[in-house]
Amino acid sequence: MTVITLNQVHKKFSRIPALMDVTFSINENVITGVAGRNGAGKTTLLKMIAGFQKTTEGEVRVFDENPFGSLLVSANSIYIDDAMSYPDPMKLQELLHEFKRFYANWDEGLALRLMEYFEIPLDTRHRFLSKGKRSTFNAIVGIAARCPLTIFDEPTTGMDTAARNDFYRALLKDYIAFPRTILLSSHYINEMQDVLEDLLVIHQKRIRYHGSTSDLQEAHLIIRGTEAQLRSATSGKVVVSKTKNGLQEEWIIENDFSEAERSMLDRRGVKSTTVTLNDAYLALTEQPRGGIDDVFDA
Amino acid sequence: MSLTHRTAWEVVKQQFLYKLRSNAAVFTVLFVLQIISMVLMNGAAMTSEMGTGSFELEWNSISTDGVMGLTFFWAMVFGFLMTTPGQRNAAYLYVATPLTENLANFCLFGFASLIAGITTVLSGGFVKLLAQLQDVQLITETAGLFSEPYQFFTRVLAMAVYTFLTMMIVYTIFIIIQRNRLLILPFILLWFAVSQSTTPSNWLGDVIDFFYNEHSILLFLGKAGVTAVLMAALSLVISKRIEVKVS
Amino acid sequence: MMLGTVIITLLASSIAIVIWKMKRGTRLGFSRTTHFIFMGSYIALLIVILIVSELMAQTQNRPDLKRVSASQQEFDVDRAIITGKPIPEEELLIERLHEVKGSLTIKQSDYGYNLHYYIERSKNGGNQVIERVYRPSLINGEDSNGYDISNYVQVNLPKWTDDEVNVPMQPTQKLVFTSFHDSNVISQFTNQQTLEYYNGYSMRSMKVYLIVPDSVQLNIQLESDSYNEITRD
Repeated sequence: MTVITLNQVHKKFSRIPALMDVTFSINENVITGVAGRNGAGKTTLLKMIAGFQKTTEGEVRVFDENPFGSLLVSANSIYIDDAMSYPDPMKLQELLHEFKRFYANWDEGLALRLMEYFEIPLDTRHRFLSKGKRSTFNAIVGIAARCPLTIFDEPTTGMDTAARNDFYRALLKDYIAFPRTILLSSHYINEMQDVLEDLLVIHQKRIRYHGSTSDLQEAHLIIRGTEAQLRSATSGKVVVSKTKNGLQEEWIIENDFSEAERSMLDRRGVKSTTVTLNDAYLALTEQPRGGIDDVFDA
Repeated sequence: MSLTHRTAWEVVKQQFLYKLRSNAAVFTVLFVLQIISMVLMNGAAMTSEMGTGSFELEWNSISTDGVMGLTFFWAMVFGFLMTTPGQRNAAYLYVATPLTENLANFCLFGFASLIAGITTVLSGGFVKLLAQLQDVQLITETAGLFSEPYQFFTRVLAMAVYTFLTMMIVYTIFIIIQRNRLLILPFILLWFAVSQSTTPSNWLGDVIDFFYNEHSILLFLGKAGVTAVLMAALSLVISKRIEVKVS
Repeated sequence: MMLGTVIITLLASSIAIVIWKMKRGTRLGFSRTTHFIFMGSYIALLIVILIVSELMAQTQNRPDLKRVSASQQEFDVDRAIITGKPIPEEELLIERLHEVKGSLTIKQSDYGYNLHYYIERSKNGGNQVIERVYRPSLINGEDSNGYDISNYVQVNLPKWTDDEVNVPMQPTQKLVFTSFHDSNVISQFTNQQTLEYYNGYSMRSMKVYLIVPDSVQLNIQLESDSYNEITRD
């Protein structure tokens, strides 16, 4: 079943485009990563899906309703980001109590256990927490709400590595027990790749890729060798990026090699490996590795 | 995961309770203002002292005008406060739509007006007691709770209704301004036009008289009700277009 | 007075605590429950205070003043004296008879004060002077729209010797009243909407009405505008 559908959606903020011609759909109970560089339009997209902002053009459907002003969408979705404006006089336990009242699937036991695990005191206030702890609290809320549509926008901002790993693990465990549709945006593909099934890449305000993470990885290839070797091996191929490591070079190319071509590469002494998800993402968003070097070498 | 279906009224009720809890400090501010007015301003005392040579007459008029004035001031601030993006974003932490958010705000205004009405009228007892304790020749012009309870309750009603209208009007004005900041200009001009106007028969006076000169409670409630519904409809229509979490 | 001081001290200290708490609020702040406890106790306290003040109002002696308004014309004593109409009893402070030998000197010590003489010659003969003193009237508020506090004005009566009447200096006095009313705005549905802040007062002078026989010779030592001679046909 399709949960989210966007059809030729445009969004402008006082004439400045934030998203252009976005069309995709997301199925039920899929964890989709939303990736893109700073200012690509990730947050705008997620806020439109959550019903906070409306489209300038085109149509957004969530649970088969226009999410902007929809009670059904609001009651069945939760949006977590690093700018949650909790009312000041309320303590964390009071905030959790409110979540319990508003969200039908709220698991209080889980929330309390996670609070204890992450060592967040219940009788303090959100603004007194450290940056990482604030994000952790938000993340706990997002997991324990068990909303059919759960949206995390940069949930791990400020968290230390251990907390990040714990968060993704907790999310995955709870997802397996209670499958739901999850949108997860982060700058760090590496840390979330284990939980992702699909990836939605936004680049320069447009959808650059939407599909499974494995397909994206298979679509690219890393080849290593001297420059001359690589040049002759890739004639007629699309080279996405080039990196120099002494005499050896490392290129990422689009993978449209046949089996015969792959074995040809081996015979020429060119080593080819599959790319990591992060490399594939970087290749998509045209961030050639070593690119910043060129700025200084010029 | 199956979808949860909620009715708007359920959510309004929850939002109202949530807003009440998260804005509890606003009520404390009201009470502090009232106490300041009662103790420091003695309600709102006016002394007129006059005489010739050996004869002098000093007449102290004390009333709850000061408490009432500060309460209206508070009502305006409260009305404005609920239109701020911070409040809206806090509401959208939980389940909310423009409809439920506005209705919850109106419920909150209703509750706040009732509290303001009760405390303002009760504060009369305090102001009176202060005078009684000062061993003065005291003339009580307002009948007390025991002698005329009906009048006591009409006072609570009048104060609550006026507070509610103040909140609703200020709320609607600032919702309009939230929608488009430029619209603050006509309101500023209007304010100057009203405050600079010296003729007693200006239209603002007419508007106030429209409510103030009404001596039938039912007609008064009707007028106030229609006004409140108009304000509510206007702010609802406008706030339906306002986006949240715009950062 | 004691109780008042206690209440004011209590309130002042609670305000001080509030301000102190607010200053530290950046780190501490009130909890949600504190606010609701404050709300409950504030309303409860106000109710108790209201009941106390109502009970006190029933036990304490309070000035019982009559309200007058401009429409209810005061009885015009001056006109009644001149025209010889009957004057209500309550306007009269005192009526005295004095035996006078051949002549009577009429004096006034205090010109700044409100006082007016009416001197009527009677054709009855004899040497008995009738003196009627009418009380001054005092109404607070502008345009005689207020309370009649005439009864509170202290008066020094004229002093008589064998052949002289003199109104001494009037006592130095300061009348202090306090009136309380609920705000007008909220008294819309009561019949007490016209309550106001009182400013100004109107006062009518004390009147000394003398009926002196023809046979008594008069020596009037008064300013010309502070007395009237009345002749009746």
